[in-house]
Amino acid sequence: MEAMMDAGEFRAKVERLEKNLSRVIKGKSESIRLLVTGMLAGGHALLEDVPGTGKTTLAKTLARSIDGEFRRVQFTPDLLPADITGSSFYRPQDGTFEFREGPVFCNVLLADEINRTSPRTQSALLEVMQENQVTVDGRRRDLPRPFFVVATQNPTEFHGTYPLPEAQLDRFTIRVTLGYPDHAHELEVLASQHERNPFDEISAVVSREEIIAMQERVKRVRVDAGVADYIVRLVEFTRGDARLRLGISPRGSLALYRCSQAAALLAGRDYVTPDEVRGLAFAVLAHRIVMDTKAKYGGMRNELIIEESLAKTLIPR
Amino acid sequence: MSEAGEKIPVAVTGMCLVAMGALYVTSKEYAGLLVMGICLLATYAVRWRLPASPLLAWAIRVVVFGAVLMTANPERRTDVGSMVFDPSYTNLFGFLCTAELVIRAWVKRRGGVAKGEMVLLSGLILTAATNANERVAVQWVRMLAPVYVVFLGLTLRAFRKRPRSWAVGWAAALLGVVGIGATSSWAVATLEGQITRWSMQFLSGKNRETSSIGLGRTATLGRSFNPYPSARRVLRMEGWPGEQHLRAMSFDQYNGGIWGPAVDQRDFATVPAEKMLGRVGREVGMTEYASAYGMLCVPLETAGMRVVGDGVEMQQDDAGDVRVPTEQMSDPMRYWFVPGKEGYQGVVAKALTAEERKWLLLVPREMAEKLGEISGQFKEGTTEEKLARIVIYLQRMHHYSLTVDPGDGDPIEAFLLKKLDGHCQYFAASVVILARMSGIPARFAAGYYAHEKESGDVTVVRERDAHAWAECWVEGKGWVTVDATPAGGRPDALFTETPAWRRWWEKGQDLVAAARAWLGERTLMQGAIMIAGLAAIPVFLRVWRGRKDRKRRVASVAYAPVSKEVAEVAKRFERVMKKRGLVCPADRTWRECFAEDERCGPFVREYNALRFGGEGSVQGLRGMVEKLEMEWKR
Repeated sequence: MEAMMDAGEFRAKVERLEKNLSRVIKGKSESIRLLVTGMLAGGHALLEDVPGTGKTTLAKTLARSIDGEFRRVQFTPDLLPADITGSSFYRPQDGTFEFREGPVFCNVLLADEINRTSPRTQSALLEVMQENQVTVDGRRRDLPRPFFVVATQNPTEFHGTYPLPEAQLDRFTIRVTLGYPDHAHELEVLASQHERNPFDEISAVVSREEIIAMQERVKRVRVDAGVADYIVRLVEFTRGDARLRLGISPRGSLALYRCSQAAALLAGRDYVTPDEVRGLAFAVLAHRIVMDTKAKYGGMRNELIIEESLAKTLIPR
Repeated sequence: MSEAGEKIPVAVTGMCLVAMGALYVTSKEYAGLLVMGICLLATYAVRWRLPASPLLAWAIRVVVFGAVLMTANPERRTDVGSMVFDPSYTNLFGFLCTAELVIRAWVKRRGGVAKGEMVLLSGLILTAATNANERVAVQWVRMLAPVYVVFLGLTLRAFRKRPRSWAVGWAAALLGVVGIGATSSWAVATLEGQITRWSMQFLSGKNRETSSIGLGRTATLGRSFNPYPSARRVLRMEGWPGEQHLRAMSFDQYNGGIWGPAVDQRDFATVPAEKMLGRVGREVGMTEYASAYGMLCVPLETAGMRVVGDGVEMQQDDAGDVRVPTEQMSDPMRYWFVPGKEGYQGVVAKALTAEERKWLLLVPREMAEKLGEISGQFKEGTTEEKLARIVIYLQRMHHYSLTVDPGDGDPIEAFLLKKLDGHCQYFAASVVILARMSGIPARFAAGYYAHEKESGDVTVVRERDAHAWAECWVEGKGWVTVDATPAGGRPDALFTETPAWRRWWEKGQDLVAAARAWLGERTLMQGAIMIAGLAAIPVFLRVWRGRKDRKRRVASVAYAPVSKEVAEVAKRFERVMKKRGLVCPADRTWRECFAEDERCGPFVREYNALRFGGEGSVQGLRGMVEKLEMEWKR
């Protein structure tokens, strides 16, 4: 950790990780790349798509590829905050309270179907995701490092779901959609699962320490003042827009900054160009926007706002 | 440019070709339009497009438009109004639009084919084509219009997936609505009579033969009157509310059920305008949309009249009926009259001469004999008393009926002797005959009974408001109107409802007419100023929107400057690329624009490394740009 990892080593590790992931998830290299980018940027990822596209499988594969503690919470309507963070139990033997850690005390947390639980329980993740800590009974408890939340949600179902609160959405660094695989890749999926599930053959390819080192390495990527300015301008564009109830927060610009660094390193460069920023703008920014009701029902979409912002913001050259 | 152009959606091309086809049949630009059509279709065969350079496009425009304008030879006009509605001018405009359309189809454009603009242009071309002089051309355009609408509908599908902007969507929707509206209005306008007839036949369950309605050259006492009432607008009267008898013509000869003499066989003499002006007073404006033999409809008590338009003369016959020679009538015809109080003897109600008096007392001898018993009741009292008694007698003995069966022989005799029910013509004719037999000079008047209030003091007269009544001479008073038709049989009681669509349609017609009249009064200079004003609107909007955009665009503030050498290399590179026809817009990165070009790809990579990563040297970059410059020169 002390000796800084060089770019070649970094890439080799990422390639190993991505190869591992693509053994299970076929033909989704872009989505995998985004997920890894989000993780290396030290953030959390929201996997959003219709059922059956491999959200949970991707999250599980990623968790298994990292040699760390993996926990999975199936979010159900009756889940309580304490079920996630942990709670104190009374010990009759000596009359004291003992804290039992909840599932968040891990390295990779899979929050499956996160929008099926009430906003009250969803909010239990607010502190966890931003500050990597849990406060229970007035005592602060740190989570292990690295800590990475992968949440999945299904955007098309409405019965018995609670849309994520804006503050919660904002805490997801990156939103990844998978989409259906194309014809050839779907055939490949069928073939690969003919006898056994490739998921069972997955083993850890990077250690916890390596992930931490990679996250530290990402922070060293050079960001030119012009590029930083470009990020802020993109974000600022959304703040004055009358069609939006909520623009993008500074947390959003920070996420874009960090993710761009990770993407540049993944592309084998030690500096960020506007191309990385543009490539990530949709995944990092779109889900943070809250549309005005009139604009929403007028057919406006978050992605169109980002598109407009990209089209109308001058690019540093 | 090496990049291939996108193909125009088939529906858009179809629409453009239909519009051009319409222009083809309307205008005489056969060769030119053929060439244009082929040029448009050629975009499918050739994938090469003109580079997206405004300068080049304008150069082509100057050449093409110049050629078109040089060869065009429209009639010389001095006022804007006639120019706007002159087919030779509108066709020229349509041809210019066609040229513009073809140019737009060939010029490369970011974001694909300019579908919205092409839809708009084709709409303009079709509009220009609809203004045709020849009947055949009009029929062709009418046939093509529905095809155009179909293509328009198909085009909207091309927009559905990814609306480029609100403006395009709106323009398309607007055009669609206008197109559908124009087609349906055309259908209604052409088939109106047919539709009314069908529906009347359907409702009444009878298949009666159609007889002439409204006003004819003579007044014939038939079996029915106005059997298929048409709501076609005949007159619009401004400035005089209330119900009025508007006479168009009067008849004084009766012969076997026909009142004559026929209007087109009478002697009319031109009356000086000053004489017709009569008494000065509050004027009532009349707009005549349809006219029978050029007759002007005015009340009996009219104190003065004047017509609108130069060289339009008024003619009058002995009975005082006024007309304008049909060839001098404008469409619609406008004239003014000054109404007098009831019983006022003005320019229409001429004083009776001794000879006319004799003439207006004539009743066929056989009829006089047969009706002697009835007319015997009205011999006593003053003229007014006699007339009142005649009216009361007729209304007591007869009821109103739109259809009569008088049998063979004289219809009036049958009506009076058999105490039949009849329509207004029977009542009017009976009053005239009975008055004459009672020694009162009388004549038969035909015209309209105005009663339908449009708004305020504006009254509308429709074809179905046609009516007949009697005019009798009262000694010491002059001509008076005697309408013996029972109240339930007058048009105001028969026709009270006008459909809303027809009222809106007429409002639209009036607006167009007003615009036409207004334009007609403008000179060429004023027209030029107007066009300049209209042209300034988009320029102003553009400037205004540009300012707004710049305000919104955070990027109006330039980025922190990079080192002078790097900036200079960047500028040189852009210059080289521009010379090669490659321009990277401000909202795209160089890598997005040039990554696929194997010659500038390496430069862009090196440049980015230096600019954003501080790696590499300016010298190396400079060398690469020089290499590119050399290659370009070669």
